[in-house]
Amino acid sequence: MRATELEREDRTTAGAPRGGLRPAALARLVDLPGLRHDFPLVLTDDEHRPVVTLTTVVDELLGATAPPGARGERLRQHVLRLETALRRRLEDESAPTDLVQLWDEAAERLLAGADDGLADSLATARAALHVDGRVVRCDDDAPATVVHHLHAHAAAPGATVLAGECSELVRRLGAVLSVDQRRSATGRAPARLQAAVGGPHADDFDFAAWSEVLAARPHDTPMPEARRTRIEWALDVLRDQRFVATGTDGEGPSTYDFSFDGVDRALTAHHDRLPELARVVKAMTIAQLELDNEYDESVHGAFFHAYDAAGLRPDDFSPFPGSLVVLDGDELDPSTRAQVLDVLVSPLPWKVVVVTRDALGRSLLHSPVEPRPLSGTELAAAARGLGTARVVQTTSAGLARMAAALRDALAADGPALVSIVTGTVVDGVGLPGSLAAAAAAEARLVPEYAYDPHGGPDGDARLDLAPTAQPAADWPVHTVEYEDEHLQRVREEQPFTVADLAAVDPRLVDHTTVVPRAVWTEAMVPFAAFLQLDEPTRRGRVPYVLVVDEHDVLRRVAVDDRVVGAAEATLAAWRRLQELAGVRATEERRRLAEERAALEAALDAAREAGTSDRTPSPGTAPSATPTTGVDSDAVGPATDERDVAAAPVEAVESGEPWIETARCTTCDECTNLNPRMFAYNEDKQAYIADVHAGTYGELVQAAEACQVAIIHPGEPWDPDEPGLDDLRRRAAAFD
Amino acid sequence: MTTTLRERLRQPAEDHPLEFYQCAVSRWCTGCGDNAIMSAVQRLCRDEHLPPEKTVFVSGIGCSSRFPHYMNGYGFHGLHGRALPVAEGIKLRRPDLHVFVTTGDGDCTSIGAGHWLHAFRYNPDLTVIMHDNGIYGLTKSQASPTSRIGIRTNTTPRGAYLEPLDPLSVALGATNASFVAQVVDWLPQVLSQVLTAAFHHRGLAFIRVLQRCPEYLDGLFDPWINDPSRIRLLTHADAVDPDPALARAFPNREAHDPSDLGRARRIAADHDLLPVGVLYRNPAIPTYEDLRPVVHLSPDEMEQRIEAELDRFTIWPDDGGVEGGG
Repeated sequence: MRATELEREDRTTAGAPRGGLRPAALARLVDLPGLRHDFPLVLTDDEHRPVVTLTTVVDELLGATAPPGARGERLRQHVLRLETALRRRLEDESAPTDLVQLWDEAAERLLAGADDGLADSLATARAALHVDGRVVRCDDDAPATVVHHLHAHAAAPGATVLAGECSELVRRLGAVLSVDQRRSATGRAPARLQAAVGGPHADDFDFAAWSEVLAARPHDTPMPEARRTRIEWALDVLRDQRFVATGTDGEGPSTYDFSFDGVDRALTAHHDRLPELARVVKAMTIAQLELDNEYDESVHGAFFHAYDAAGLRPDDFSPFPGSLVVLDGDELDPSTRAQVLDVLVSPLPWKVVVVTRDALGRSLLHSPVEPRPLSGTELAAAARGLGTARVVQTTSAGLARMAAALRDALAADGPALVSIVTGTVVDGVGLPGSLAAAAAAEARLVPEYAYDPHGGPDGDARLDLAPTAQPAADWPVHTVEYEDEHLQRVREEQPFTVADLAAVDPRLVDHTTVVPRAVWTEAMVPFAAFLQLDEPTRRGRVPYVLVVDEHDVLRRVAVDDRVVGAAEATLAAWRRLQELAGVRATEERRRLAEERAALEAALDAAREAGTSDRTPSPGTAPSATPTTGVDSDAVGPATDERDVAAAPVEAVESGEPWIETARCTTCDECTNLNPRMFAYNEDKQAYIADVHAGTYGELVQAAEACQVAIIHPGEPWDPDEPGLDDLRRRAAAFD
Repeated sequence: MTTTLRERLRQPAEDHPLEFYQCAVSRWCTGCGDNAIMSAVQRLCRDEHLPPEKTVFVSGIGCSSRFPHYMNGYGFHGLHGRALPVAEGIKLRRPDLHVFVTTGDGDCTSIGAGHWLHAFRYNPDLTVIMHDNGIYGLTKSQASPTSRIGIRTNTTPRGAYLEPLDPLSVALGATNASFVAQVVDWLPQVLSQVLTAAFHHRGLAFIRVLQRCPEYLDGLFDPWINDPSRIRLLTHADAVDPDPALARAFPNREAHDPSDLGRARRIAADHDLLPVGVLYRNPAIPTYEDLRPVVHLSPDEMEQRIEAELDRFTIWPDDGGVEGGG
């Protein structure tokens, strides 16, 4: 489809309604259901990919079933026909919302009257379809639907862990009580014992006697009453908690809803639930202490007695579900805006989602001299400035692309603000929903980014601008192709700006004018070029953008100061964002590195050409390669650089007896021989406790008995001890 | 990183003296290497602050298997060769407990050999200490699978004539073996370091401890005790890292990477030097507890299921026959 510039006849007159006009860069995107784009989305249960586009589903299916080349071509064409049919079917509100149902219905309609080949292809494709889930078409509800789905996804693992932990604590506390109950008088009552034995042998025993025997067991002390009360209290709290579902088959109390459509309602619920949350934290902690056998009344009693919501810390909230608040960004009243910022500076997991329909009107329609309310995107910028919350901004068109970033922000421990722009405020404009959203992103009105204040040490680690098109440029540049009056193809590089969007907005007819070809002059300057002119040069010039009308005729639309001002403000905001993300600095570093590499290459080349005399530079001298014995069969003494401890030579020189205590194997030989002379240290290794507690003969005997020969008798201290010569001779073997 | 209230209330670990971990005087012979192993295990319990109520010592039959009687902790003195299945059951049911298995060369590599091989394959998170003295001591001197050729015992009065089984090579060839070490009872420092490495390994840590039996096989290890150059001391910063004074006594030290299975097998197969240290360690092998999580039941539920199972085999006097399938 090409845009044709009409030469003679102008079918529109200046100031006419803008229905049917489209930015030239989007000229080819007329029949959206016929194109493969980012909608519809499929919301899956897949842990790693909760949101996927229909296009991706079909591409993966074809990748798995249709071999490359001519063999798979028929299947590919058939399935793509089905994909188009699916998209067209979704334009109807009555279409099924489940992918498999929708798929089957569309396939059935397509097959009516078709040949067997199509039936075969669709059967093959259907067998390979392993994705299912709710299908989301692009409308005003799409962002909220996707966000709720992602929030549920993000919360599921934490809820499973918390539910598992609660159930486990309930089970184990129950077991503690149950064991105590069995040991109690009640548990040993004859009737209880009889029940335990079971029916057939109920009359074979004297249970009363049995009960008496058991009751006489001396060492079973019952559980202290205070402990029992404590455990029963914790059990009750854990069974009755309403933060996660723990019962199977819908048992147990109903759980709280954590989705809200107003910050005030969320705050009220939060405050109302705090006392219960504190009770659950307290019950879980008491249960864990009890089960770890660490509950100490003297240490913990007073602490838990006074423990209530005032004792909660932010960490205590992390196992519990966070609140999700979805707000209408076009209708934010001042108190809501203030409350949003209030909750975003709290460390709790508040997730605020602002869905804005109007991407453009706020700044352009409002009088520039009157204060105006912040837009959703401006609220996101303000939240970014707080430095406490994660901020993710995207458009309807970016929901699938940014699903992972959205999920991360919703799953993170702290607060998060998500700003989503649909761009669908104006009915009758030639841009269908997702295209309007994409155009708002392209025009830098809604930069798509993910910001994590704790993401890293510098801007580019904290702010990810990559989701935005051409993040290093002022405006994204598109190639526009059209046929000129001589039927020749013309290709132009066109930056996509705020003015391209303003030119087709029917609300801005007062600020834009379709200029008939007859009055085109040299003074007309493309909008992006106009913005680069300084003030004196701008005088007498008229900025314009290219659009196409409903007949695909290329037109120029001149825009006024208001649009220029809005574009300049948008560009300034975009450049600030680029600076924050380090895009410009990164770009400059890249260029610098390129320049340096080029310079070094040139220098090397010049050096090579200039001289053949090569002298190695000091830094390139070959270094000795360290060798290790790890992979060698040969072994040898490994070097040890640590200081070698001094040998205990003092004792040897002084003739005193000593033991190499560190080598003692605790074999009891010496300690059995004379437990006063030999003793074990705190590591249960022997040392000479009192050499005078025995005779030299015993010392020598111990040295001989020692399994590892670590007792050194030294010199005798009593010259009158009998048989000293023999003892000295025997001792010599150990010195 | 978030900290829960439970973490914030955690008391500093209690320090206990070594005697705290002993509950009875051992009946092992004076001079027996089992004493060295037990005091090393007690040092481990003390240094790791293991509460006795969180430790279980499981054994089979033999001198070594008297171990649970002397340790302050839970114990299970099982059937001959059946220590490992019991320990696996305990660990599966109570993953929060630290389960140690003490077994001997006869208990482990003879009657219990089947369980031994499959324990490697299951890889439960256990610390298995095989006391290998090369003889049945409890029954007063019979040859075990690891008795060397020529050793005279009651069952081999003319000397053992079979090549001994090499537990290291068997272990290193077993499917899923995740930790294999060898240590000697006469090097307390190395024994402690290997035990610590084994304790921190998640999976089945198998340690063969060469243990002296002065009563029935006196002097068996004297050549290695008296000549440290016959020992290949395997060092690694995260396993055996002897102090310099000790290291100096071992001229044949080798810096060994425990993740190198090929080298470990070559070291085990070289019988010229006695390897001491951690031969192999692979923490990536999943444990059985990870692969087969147990459904926990309350005592009442458990009782109901046991009753139901027993009822299947109950003889009902009125019917005079067997009720249910069997």
